[in-house]
Amino acid sequence: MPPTKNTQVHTLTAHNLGCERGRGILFDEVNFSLPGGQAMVVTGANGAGKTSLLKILTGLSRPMQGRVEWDTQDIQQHAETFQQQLLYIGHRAAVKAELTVRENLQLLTRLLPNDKNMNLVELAEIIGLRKRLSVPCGRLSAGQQRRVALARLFISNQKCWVLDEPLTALDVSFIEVIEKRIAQHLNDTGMLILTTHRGIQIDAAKTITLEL
Amino acid sequence: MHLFLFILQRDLKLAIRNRREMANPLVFFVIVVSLFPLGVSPDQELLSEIAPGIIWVTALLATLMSMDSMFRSDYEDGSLEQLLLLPGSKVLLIGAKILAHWLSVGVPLIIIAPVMSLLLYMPVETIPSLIITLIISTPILSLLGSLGVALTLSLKSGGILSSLLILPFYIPVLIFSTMAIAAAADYQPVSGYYALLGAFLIMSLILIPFAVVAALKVSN
Repeated sequence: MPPTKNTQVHTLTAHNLGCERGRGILFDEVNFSLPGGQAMVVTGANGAGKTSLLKILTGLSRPMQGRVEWDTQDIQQHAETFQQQLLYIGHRAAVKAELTVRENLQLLTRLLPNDKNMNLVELAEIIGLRKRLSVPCGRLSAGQQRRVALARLFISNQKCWVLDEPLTALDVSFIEVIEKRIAQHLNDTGMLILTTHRGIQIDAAKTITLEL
Repeated sequence: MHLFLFILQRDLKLAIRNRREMANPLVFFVIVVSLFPLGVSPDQELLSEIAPGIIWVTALLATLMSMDSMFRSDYEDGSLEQLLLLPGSKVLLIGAKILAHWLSVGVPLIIIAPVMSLLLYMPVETIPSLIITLIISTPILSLLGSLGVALTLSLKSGGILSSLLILPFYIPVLIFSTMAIAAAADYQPVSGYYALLGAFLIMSLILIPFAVVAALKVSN
């Protein structure tokens, strides 16, 4: 399980964020401050700009106006510091169809900045794919591919998790596993930003909701 | 450096997994070159005259064909986002991807082109200059191509647009490479052409990875 050596509490702050797509404005004047140990659920109708907001918060795209700060440092200017602490899982799974589960897990674990030596077999056990380690991911079901993508949650010690629709295609039993991991992450002063259309059990006292 | 080797290894592994797709440009190259003696004329003199042009144009088109694979699949499955969010030098990361592309497309072309040139009665004396121009120029093709693909990544059918964007920049490479081979056939000095191509390579090597990183950030 992830070590808790990094006990500094970070904050992610959005100042007056705005985003436009095509000719229309998706959202503007989004303000929030999210301290470590808290989760933020972003809600809104389809096309409200949830994914766009998440991409801005990770620094992948630039906002039309406003800025995002990680501990009072702009994330675009101090990208390196922020990226050390960021784990982003988009709604596209970043799982290579032509590689086996084992190879994908190897890639995903090595892609993480804080390289932890968790046994791949252990990791596969957690995501329930131990018997499928040598199957190409292209032959797995959508839910199983999602599990491979989410495997990163179990080795990450990044403080800021940004998850875009993490529960898509997952079965109930695995959602419980994810919920447990999230609770643990929040206890370790980690923060979480997620969008979801499905119910997820997170400690209500630690959750704020942002409606777009 | 760790990141560079990691990405290089990853991309080469993916290229080997997708070898059927990766063989496409090579097969195209072999087929087109071998059709010329049938389609134009089997006349030895004529063929040996136009051989450098044929080899070069075909190599150029084969490279162009393969460009789209460079970022497309990573973009579509979300891996590219993950790569761009890695802490560390993005320029190094893109450099590794371009090198992997050259190793999987450019290098096989360099190996196969001298063999195909025999099919076109290319004078044996000019083969070294063919190989040298290919060695200097195929990395330029990969570099320039990567920029075109990066710029058009978010478009649904970016392939055509990116070809149109890149092609004008390929033309100087084509001209100087074929001129070098023609000069070698006439026993003229060729080092001037090599120097120009080399300068072109160095310039693109230094500037293009930065441009690609900027383009990818816009496309994302």
